[in-house]
Amino acid sequence: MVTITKFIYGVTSLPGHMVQTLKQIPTGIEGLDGALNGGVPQGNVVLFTGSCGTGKTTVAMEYLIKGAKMGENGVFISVTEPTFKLLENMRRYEFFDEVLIDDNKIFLIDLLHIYRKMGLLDRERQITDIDALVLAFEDIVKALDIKRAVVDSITAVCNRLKEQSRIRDFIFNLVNIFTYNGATSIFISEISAGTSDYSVYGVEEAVADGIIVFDDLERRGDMMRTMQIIKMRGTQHSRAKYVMDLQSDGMVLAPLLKGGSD
Amino acid sequence: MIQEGLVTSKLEPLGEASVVSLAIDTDAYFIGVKEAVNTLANIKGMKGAYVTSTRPARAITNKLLLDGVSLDNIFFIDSITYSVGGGTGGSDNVVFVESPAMLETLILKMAWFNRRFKDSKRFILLDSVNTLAVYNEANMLSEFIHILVNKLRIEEVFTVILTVGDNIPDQVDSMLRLVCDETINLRKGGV
Repeated sequence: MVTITKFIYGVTSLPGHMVQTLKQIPTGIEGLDGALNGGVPQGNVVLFTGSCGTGKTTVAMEYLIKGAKMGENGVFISVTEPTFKLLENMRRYEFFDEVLIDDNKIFLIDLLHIYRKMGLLDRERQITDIDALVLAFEDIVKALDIKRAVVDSITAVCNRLKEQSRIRDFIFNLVNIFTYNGATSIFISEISAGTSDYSVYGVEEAVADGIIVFDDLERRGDMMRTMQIIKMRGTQHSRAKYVMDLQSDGMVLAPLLKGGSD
Repeated sequence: MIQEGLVTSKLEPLGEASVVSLAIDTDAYFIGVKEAVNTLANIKGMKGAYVTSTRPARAITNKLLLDGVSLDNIFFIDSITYSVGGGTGGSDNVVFVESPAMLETLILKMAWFNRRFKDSKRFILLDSVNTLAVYNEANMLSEFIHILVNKLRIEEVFTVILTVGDNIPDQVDSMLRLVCDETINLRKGGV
């Protein structure tokens, strides 16, 4: 097992599969791949940020499912809601296929179970606990041959860490684990409606290779979901704001009409 | 009132990916709609999305069925029922949009239709520019038509944009003339 310090200080070169020009991995989500001009570079960490109800979790889940259908194992690490509830929500989408879970292509992990197993449930995290938690994530990625990962939400994980320095170390180590193992990952960041920040602690947006903002737009009393790619290292992506719909067969994007933008 | 069969005779010879601006008088509304739907769905055998902001899908369905038009190939995208507080349950072939002002959502629902039936020949009937003009500024409606027509053109969808009467903004009228392949003007004096 690789130690945390190696991740922090010891990584001087990327593994072989990462050294060459970063290959763009199609998310499998038609409109999103169009806006990204092909997909997300392999190993990138992308922050999905937005307030509640803006569609982050559903799009992240679609990303995992589409990946699994293309042969890439995925893990969804849930912090904010029990996995059975997540499953219930996903069953109404046609793109969701429960067989992928039965066949061990997608793994849903409730972080509370990990905390419980580690005896961390009811106390504030210490540095050694955080190291252990990061190692647990690494074990998951390696043992399950994970190529796509979602942490929902990174904000909720960080809430338990309290101190800014611990949060920074934790996120930095987590990013390294996913990137080093070639897993293209999504960290979900929960922010308040109307804020101009992309994350609660600031560290999340600083370390992320990509930031996609999910938002609501109100126009004369009508509410519409929007999506905008703020950054995506290694791509020539669109920076336009799109109107988004979560339909039974997945996410669809349409250009926001300029006459109607705020 | 227009002569029966006139709309059919104009639409039937057109190619499968045509974009048509169809202008009719108010008193010819139902005959125009009936012939457009029947020609495209039943004579040409296309899958169709009837996008309505004029009358609720249920009212149009009832009227067309009464007139003997088969709606087996038709889905409705209805942006008026919701906004007037009508019931939206029990309709397998209707998707609802909250308001005719949600133009992007109309585009998204049409994208859903195109995705669902991508292997079929398809048409979209937009009913109507007039009612959309009530809820949207002229420049925004022009932009909508521009984007919509070009998206549908890429998808090779037969598109009919209906105008009823003559009270649409000049800017919108100009856009229709610019982006449509054919303008079929069946208003009095226009035939």
